[in-house]
Amino acid sequence: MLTVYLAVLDNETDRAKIELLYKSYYHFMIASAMRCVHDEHVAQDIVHQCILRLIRHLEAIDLNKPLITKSYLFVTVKNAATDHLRREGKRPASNPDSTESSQVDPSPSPVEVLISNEGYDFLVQCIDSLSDTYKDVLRLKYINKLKESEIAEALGLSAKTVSVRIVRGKQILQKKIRESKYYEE
Amino acid sequence: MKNKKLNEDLFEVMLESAVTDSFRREMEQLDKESQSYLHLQPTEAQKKSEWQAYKKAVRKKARAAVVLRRAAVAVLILFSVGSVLMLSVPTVRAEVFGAISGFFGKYIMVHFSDEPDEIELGEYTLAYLPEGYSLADSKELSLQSAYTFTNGSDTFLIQHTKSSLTDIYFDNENSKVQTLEINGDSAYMVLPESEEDETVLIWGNEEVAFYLTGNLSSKEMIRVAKSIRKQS
Repeated sequence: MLTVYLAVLDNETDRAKIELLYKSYYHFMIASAMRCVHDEHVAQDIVHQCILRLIRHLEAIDLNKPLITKSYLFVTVKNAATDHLRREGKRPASNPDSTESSQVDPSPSPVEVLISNEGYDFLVQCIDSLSDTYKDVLRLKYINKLKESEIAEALGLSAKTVSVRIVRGKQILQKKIRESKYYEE
Repeated sequence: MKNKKLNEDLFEVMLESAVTDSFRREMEQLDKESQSYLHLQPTEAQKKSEWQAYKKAVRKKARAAVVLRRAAVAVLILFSVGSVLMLSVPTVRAEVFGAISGFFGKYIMVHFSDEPDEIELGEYTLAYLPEGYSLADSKELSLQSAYTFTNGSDTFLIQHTKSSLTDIYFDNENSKVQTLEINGDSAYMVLPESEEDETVLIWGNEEVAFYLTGNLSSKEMIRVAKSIRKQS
């Protein structure tokens, strides 16, 4: 399969990059896809399509930064897997952008709670518990340092949707913190 | 207000750190999970897709090569047609041929021999020396020798060199050239148009080429030239 990817590329540097990416992250990408599709063959197809897409955006990947690379690959593969499921009708497309915001408390963020170790761990747990809809955009924003327009391009969304998801993701986290035992007004 | 902004900034910093940590934890788990997929082989759909992608890439490269070849041919044709068209214009044609013939019209090349360098340059002596002249300077090398003679006010120079090494060009645009024979060898005498120029006599055979120049009269030059003898 690697031969195919290399044949597609003209540039020697890009070939070396895709070879390294394939050898280092192929199974990681499969595992990422498996989180959604639970079928190895489907996961393989999704990863294959993702790599073909990545070839056109190789500049977005810096192999010297493994965590950032993983974050980018993880989110894009998972996003492709979600799209696949939607197309297959196996999971109805949710529209989280139109809900949840009305339930969020607009008061200032409870930073004091987070300064303690326990508070910080709680914040990490809150992020873990967020739906992928918000987690993905937050990861691309904070780990990959992508702009909203770049996140939109990576996930096939509009920039406005990305912006809304970032804001709502943060509001949900703030709400969870306020409702926790760590928060005392 | 200031406090609110500070809180927001702090929250951003903590969020960045927490998102990274959350992801790092998840990745540790995912790295373990990925080990269980090392056995995977390409599916049929993948193979088909790979083959299509490969063919597409090969076709793209082939197309690029064809385009490049066609561009090269087009440039060649354009250049050829352009050249023909240019030459078909009388003034351009006249300029081109004029430049070519101009060069060969202005210069004469004398080439005495194509023989390889095996022939050794012999030693020559001068049987006749115009009155009052004596040897002023000599340079004797394996391939070339030069002798300068002077009578105190005027000088002349005789050079001889291996013919195979000698292609002599001289300007005949502003000079008159006579052809003659020196001891059976072809010779050219370049007569000066002005007093500032010197007379030049060139002659040679398969073995050696001579070059004689100076303020001597043409008659004297020919006499000097004819008196040169090879030493046995």
